Amino acid sequence: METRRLGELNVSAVGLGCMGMSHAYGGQPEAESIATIRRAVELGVTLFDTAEVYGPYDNEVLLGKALKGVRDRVAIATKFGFKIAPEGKSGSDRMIGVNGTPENAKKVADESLKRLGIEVIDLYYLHRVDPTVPVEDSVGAMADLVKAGKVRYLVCPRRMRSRSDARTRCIRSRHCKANIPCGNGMSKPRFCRPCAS
Amino acid sequence: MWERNVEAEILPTVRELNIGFVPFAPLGRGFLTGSIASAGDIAPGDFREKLPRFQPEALAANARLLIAIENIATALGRTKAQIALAWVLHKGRDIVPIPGTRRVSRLEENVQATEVQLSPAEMDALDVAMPPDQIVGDRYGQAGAWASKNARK
Repeated sequence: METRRLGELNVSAVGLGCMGMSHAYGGQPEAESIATIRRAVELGVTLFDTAEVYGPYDNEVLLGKALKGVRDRVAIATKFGFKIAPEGKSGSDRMIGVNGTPENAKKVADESLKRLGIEVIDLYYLHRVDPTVPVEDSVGAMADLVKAGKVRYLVCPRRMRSRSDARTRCIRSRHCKANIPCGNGMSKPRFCRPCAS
Repeated sequence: MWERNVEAEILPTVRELNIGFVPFAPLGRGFLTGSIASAGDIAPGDFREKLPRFQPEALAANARLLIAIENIATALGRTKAQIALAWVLHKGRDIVPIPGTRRVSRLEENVQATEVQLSPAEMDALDVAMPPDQIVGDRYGQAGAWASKNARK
């Protein structure tokens, strides 16, 4: 398949959104989801999208399981930024607010790495802008994760009902513009560049 | 195709900074593919039940907006999903859509959209197929209320 560049990251022109396998649209038996994900790898799809809040948590576990053995051929995108209730009728009901604090950025990254069973998150998104946290602080914590080798690239969020300029502020924040080296043992620095809707 | 808010500010900004762009729900959460044509296509508990654009009267009113996609799909021997995805892909090589699907057959259909060539005239027709002021129903409505509730406090 044709490949495209998200900043410095090369990925297939079409990725696979995995949310619906465990969240929002009703989910389905795990075996079917795994078959779909593995077929995507066969067809050359190299960008797989999940999030902490899909399930919650279950979607990351599913994706990690399905990509076992082919992880080095694909890029995995996941996201933090929601406040999740400990219990609830459904995954959507458990989304009870936002949490873009630096502490949450770091805590969720560690938990996502475990659920996905990987060493580094290729793309780490702030899922929603938290109106109570300066977006530069959220993105700053994500940049620290890049320096720590837990994340390769940062992704800024689609905004909803927060300050009108938060998205472009995020995109333009000094962390994005500063070309943060990944410091992950790579021979040449890689930079924070991708962004998302 | 029926949510164009990024075109004014976000896309120009990411291009200026050489950043990529990942549009989600490029198939309009199933609306653009024709698979969600009426309220009966949405199972109980599905998140779309809460979205204004997926209310029965909105779906009925918005159906006419699919005509351009349908015409081009028929002319090219493709599916509506493939045309909707091809339109996004033709918007720039810095754009990587992430259509979601649960099924292998839909995945294969989506991947094949990368082979679809749209002419400038077809792109023009699709660009104006869904004027924002003619779409019935908000994108999220109260379903996105958690974003402003700030329940963290």
